[in-house]
Amino acid sequence: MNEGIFDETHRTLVPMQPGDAVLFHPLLAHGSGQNRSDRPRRLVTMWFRGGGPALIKEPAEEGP
Amino acid sequence: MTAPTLPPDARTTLESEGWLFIRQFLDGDTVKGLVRASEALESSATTLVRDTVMLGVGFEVQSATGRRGEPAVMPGALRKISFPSKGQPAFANLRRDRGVLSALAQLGLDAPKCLVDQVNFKLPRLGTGFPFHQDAHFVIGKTRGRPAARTRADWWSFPTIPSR
Repeated sequence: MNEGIFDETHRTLVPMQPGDAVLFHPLLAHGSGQNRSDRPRRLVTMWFRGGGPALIKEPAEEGP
Repeated sequence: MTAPTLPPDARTTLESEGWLFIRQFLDGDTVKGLVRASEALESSATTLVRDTVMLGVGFEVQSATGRRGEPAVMPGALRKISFPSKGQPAFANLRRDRGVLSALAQLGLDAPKCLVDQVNFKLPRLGTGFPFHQDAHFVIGKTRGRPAARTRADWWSFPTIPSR
C-alpha cells in the first residue's frame, strides 16, 4: 500500500533510544515497519499546532 | 521538565529537511513516569479483543492484519492508546510541559498547543507496520469555515520512545 506514491530517495531509518524524539511536519511522508524482534516497543506520538485561528474541530488522530 | 538542549542548527534543519532528530528530548524520570502510566493503562485492557473506549481513553487492539476494526490477535494485544492523557496525569502533564513547549517555540512553533496524544505499540513479532503516509488531514482542516492556510506551517508532531 502507498508504494510508489512518495519520493523515497531520502528515506531514513532513525535508531532511537528511550527519551529521543523525532519532530516532523505532518506533510512529511512517514511510516513504520513490523516489529520482528522479541522486544516490545512503545512510541508516544503527539500533534502540536501553533497559535492562530482556533479550529472548529480537532482532527482525528492517525498512526505513526 | 527543563527544556531540552537543542542543537544550534535545529530550527534550520527542521525547516529545510522537514524533520529533526533530538537525542534525549525527554529526561529519564519523565520517560519512567510515562512507562509506568502506559503500563497502568495497559493493565486495564488485558482482556480486550475489540477496540474500546474507557473513560475517554481509546484502546485499539492489534489485529493479525494490522487493520482497524478487526479482532485482536490475542486478548489484550494493543496497537494504540488514544488520549492516554485522559486517564493518566503523566501524559496530561506532558501535553503542557514547559520544557517541551519551550523547545517547540524555539523551533518556530508559535504558542504551541497539543491536540492529540497517543501511545503506539509494536508487540514482539506481532506488531504490524504502517505504510508511508502523510498526516494531511492536520493541515487541510478548516478554521471557522476557511481553509487553515495560516496554520499550515505551524503543525508539527513529535513522537518519542518511552520504552525501557
